[in-house]
Amino acid sequence: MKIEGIQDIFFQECDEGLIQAEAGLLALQSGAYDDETINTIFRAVHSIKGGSGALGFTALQHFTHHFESLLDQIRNGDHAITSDLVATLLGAFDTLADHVAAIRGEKPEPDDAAMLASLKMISTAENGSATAIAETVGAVAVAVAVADPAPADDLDFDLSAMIDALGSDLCPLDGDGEQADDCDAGGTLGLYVRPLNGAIANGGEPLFLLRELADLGASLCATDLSHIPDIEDFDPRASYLGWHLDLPSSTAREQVEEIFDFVEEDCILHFSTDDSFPTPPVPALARPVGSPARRRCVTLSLDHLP
Amino acid sequence: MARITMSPIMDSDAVDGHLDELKAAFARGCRIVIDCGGVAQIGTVGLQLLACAVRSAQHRDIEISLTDSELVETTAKLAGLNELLFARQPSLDMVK
Repeated sequence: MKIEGIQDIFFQECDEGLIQAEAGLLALQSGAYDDETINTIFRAVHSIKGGSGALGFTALQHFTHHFESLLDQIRNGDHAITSDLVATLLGAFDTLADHVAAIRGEKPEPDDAAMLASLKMISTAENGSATAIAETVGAVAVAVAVADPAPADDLDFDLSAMIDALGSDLCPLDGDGEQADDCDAGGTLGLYVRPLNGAIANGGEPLFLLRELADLGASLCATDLSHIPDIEDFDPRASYLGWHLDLPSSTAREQVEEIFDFVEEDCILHFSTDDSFPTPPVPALARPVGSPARRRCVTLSLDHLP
Repeated sequence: MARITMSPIMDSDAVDGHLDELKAAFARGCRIVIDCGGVAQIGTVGLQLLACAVRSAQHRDIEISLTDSELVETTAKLAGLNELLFARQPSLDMVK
């Protein structure tokens, strides 16, 4: 499947997610809701977030990350569902819909700064303080009124800027003496990722997937170079790199698999919970590992991601 | 010495062209300098070519080096290719 086809599937999933989220939010507004209503809204936003990250729609991914975080708090009972809170969620939904329209080239990318600020403020407010939420809603209303949306970039995202933003947060392994800690092998989830030829031939960018994994707290432990051929056999449209990563033990495999939803046919994923590197199923590593490797990791910090 | 200047946009088309240049340089067996100074965009496709060139040179005992490029180095770090390409970090190739 080509990247355009994958995008089309994602756009359809966005449409379905927006319908589900809107229905749930309207139920919240009417007072006729239960726990499943909130779960449905959460899952819809979460799904959009997953696909947006895998396909490089960073603005949409960034916004859904914060929207999802607040929804997660709500479903955990951290916030009372007040009319002010519902008003903010409806506003966030509108911004989400604008983001989806923007990646489809139908609208300019929305200025979501004010809405993001409100989501963050509520997320950090003590148990959904009614005062804080009311102030936030007011601030958003003013900000939206003066917003001047920037022109959309269509689907032509700036890969270098994204990579640069992430790469600048990578800690050196040893050389500069910063955060060159050995991985705490116990209690982590090992992951081997190897994009296959289709992942690149179809216009995909595997580094985006690393970025998504970083979002889950992944640390890069090793890069598998064993598939790189001699220069005479090099195919610019083939995929040769693989990566070993450690994820926090709290990470559910489903969270990782969601990242690869749109590229799963083109990637090898292999999990391991023991102390050795996960052994990729095919093909075998060229350089055998005699004993369980002591892993050093590069921390992929989430804090400074765009 | 063969000096090969990488394209600003290192997409698959650019990599195709540079592959031919690199093969010609390897055939000559001379020292190779890959100039990355003008690279403005690079992802997995471009990094793979650089990694392939460096490893192929090592196997042939041909001297090869990459000129400084903050962008390429940053991206290489993300992909765990820093030591291989710039020899500044411990190997990420099955870290021992």
